[in-house]
Amino acid sequence: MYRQDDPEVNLEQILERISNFFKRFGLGGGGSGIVYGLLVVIVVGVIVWLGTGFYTVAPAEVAALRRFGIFEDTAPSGLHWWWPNPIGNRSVVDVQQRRRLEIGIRGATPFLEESQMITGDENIVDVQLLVQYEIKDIEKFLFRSVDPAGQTIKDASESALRQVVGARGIDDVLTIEKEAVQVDTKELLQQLMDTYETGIRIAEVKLLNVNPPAEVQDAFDDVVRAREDKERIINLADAYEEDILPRARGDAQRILQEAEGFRAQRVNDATGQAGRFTSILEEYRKSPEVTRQRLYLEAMEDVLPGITKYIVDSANGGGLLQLLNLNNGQTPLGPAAPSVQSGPAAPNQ
Amino acid sequence: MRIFAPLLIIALVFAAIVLPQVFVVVDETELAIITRFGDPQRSIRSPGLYVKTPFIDSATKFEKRLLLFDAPAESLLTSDKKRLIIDVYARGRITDPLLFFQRVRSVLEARSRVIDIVASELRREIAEDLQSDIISGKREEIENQVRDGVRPIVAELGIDIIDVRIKRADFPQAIASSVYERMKAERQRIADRERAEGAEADLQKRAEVDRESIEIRSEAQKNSDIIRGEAEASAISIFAESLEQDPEFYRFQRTLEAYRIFMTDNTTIVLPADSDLFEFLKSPSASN
Repeated sequence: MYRQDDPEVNLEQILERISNFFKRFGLGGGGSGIVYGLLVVIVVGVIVWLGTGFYTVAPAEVAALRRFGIFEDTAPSGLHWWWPNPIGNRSVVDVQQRRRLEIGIRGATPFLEESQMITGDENIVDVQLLVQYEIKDIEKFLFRSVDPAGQTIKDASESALRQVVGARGIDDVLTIEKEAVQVDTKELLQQLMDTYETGIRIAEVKLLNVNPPAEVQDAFDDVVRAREDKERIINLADAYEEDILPRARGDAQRILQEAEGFRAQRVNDATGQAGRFTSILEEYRKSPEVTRQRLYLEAMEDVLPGITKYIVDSANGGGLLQLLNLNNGQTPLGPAAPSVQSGPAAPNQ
Repeated sequence: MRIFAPLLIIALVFAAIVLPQVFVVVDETELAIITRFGDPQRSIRSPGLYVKTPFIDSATKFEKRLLLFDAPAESLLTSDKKRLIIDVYARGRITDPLLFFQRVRSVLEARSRVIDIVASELRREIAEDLQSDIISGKREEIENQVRDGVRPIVAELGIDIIDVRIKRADFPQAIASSVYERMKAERQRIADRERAEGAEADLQKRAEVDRESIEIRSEAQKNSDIIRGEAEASAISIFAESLEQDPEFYRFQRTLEAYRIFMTDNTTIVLPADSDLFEFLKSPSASN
């Protein structure tokens, strides 16, 4: 039966017992060479067998150790010893390497059967996905699920991706919801990995390509062009706005400023003339009669010199006739004609 | 006595034959069942070293890890009589090695039986659902219903199904081309709509701009008229306030100014001789 002691001690004890056993039958020392030969073979065999228990673990790796099938321990990188077969087992796994899984593409070759899927609005979309994962729990990874890093994660990734894409419309998948598809797929995939006890941690889920199928690519491109056309037209309309409105506002300012200018001019005129009148009036009131005369005469002085004048004597009667004659005549300074006219009336001219 | 050498050899050979018959190592990844001439004695669910009666008892080991039951893709009819290619897989593990031993015996056989059970349950479930529900909304619900449906049946094989998932649900190849046509038509519609919306936005914007421009100018014109009116009013009031002081003098003074303006060189006037202006022409003294 298996014992817990150190193997060497164990062996020595066993050898001693065997030796004693033989000695009891009087075979000690001088006995048969065959027996000792056999014993030596056994001992050497055991030592060689135990020697196979030495192993090394590379820096990025971890070894999972089993004794009689039971998971006992893990060993980090370095030189170790563990029970060799059939007592012990060891499985070495690279736990630091970030592993990659491609869905819908293999290297550069598209894999349509995997990549084409139905969206929530019953369109077909071509999705290529990269899953990166690490082993976080070596015990689960090795002992809880069949082929965790193979078919398990591949099937689960496909299923998760298709469920997530199937919950969205094609336009969302192609544009604004890309990020959400990644996040949701990762979450769902991690959930599946945990349910399946794979010991795998999903590090990243990344959409490599999301495209409409090649058969309808042109139609999708045309939509993109249409959107660009729309943008362009709206830009032109904006440009029109930017051209027209500032001019209109400028015009408005001009109109208003002109009006303000008019107001200032009008008020200034009025104020000036009113002031002038007030000043003259003040002086006039001091000696109204003389001033009035003076003003009148000065005005007459200014007005009369250049103009044609007829002075008619009001004492004579029919000045009007003569006046009419004079109008037709050429000589401006004719004899005085009697007239009843008074004031500065300019008859027909 | 030289019989010890042969004895030793016999002992070694015996040990080599008997020890594996006595001890059974059950791994972390295994379940085992001990049978006596095919008759199950006990089942072993935890790993470790076990002892059995040599030669009489034999140990059969089964996979303890979570198994994959990958059903082939199948064309199924939905409740609205449409076809979908559905690829489904189930995950489960052997939980009762005795039942499993009695009913199935090998993982290979278990696989085909579980797949059959899952496939028929799926067919039944799909036949009750609309195509659109399977594609989008109800996928998880369908998966759970299939799982719950197959669970009791598969449990009788000693297997516990923990998950059933739809891996793919695709249109059959024959429909794909009509789907593409529909997609194209839809894109065409969207493209047309986008362009029309562009034109709409353009017309609307230009009309708005024109209107706003007219508004701005007319508003300014309105304010301008008001300002000019106020200016006239102010002027009138300023004049009036000043001239009210002596209306008669204003009339006199302003009239003289007017004379200056309208009596130009080619004006002809007729003056009466007895006008005030000529008063002194006749005599140096004022006559009245």
